[in-house]
Amino acid sequence: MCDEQSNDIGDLVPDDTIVFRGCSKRNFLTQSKDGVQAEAFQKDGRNHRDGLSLASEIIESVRYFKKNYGAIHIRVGDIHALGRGLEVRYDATDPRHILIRNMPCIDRSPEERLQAESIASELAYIAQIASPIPIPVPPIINPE
Amino acid sequence: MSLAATMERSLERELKHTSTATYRADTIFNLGILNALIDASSDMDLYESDEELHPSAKLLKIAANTLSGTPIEHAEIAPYLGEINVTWKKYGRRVKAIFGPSPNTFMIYREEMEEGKVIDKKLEANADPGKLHKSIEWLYGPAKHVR
Repeated sequence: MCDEQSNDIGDLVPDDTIVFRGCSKRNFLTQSKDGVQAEAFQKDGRNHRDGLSLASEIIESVRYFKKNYGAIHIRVGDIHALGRGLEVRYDATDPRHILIRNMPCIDRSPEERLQAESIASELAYIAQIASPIPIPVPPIINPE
Repeated sequence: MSLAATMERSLERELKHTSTATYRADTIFNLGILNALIDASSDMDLYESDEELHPSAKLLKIAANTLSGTPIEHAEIAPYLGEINVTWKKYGRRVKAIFGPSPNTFMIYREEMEEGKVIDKKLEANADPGKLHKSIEWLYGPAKHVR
């Protein structure tokens, strides 16, 4: 699998945790905005070098996007229960940043793409919509 | 100039210099499909950032010709890292035509899901229009696993 970077990977996230993935593209949700599409869980090796990013809070899942189209949520235990070898782990440098590790990449070999496409479909099936509309992101206020 | 405008100008030039009796390898057979591909490629809501690679004009033309004769009314079209992908879904089945990023790359992914699990899947790395038509037939056909 294509997790090229393994620095600062923290502990496993407990199974009863709900995690969020921001919608950075409109097609992460269906056109009628009543379902999650596999596109929300496509991992490419160029941009996701340490895993597919999630967040512990809905705001954090969209904070660094130029534009967002809502967010989805998913229970960590459901990801582990897929039986695909995926691991949900904390970023050791930022407990709000969470990574799905061991995901195959979509932009490598056809063999890896076959796995990546099917895992994306299964993750989309268990994910739910947290917000079908763009989430306003409040600015970070420095305590000074 | 936007990608859509560039494509339209390129197409106008091409049509101007192509007589109705002349067919070249890159003659566009289905302008409706090409327009749908251009629309999706120009839709910035389908890109994660301004820097994300767009599909090339050459790729869009090849994809349009490959899709000629294929119903795309209910398909979803989306760019992805220089690719242009066309996806059909029906009854837990998904067929995805994957074009690019290089113009000579055409793959077909198809899967069947049951209760949230992919029970069968296949990736055709060296696809052609005939294989795509078979996949579309399978999508709308009776329930059975991917062959």
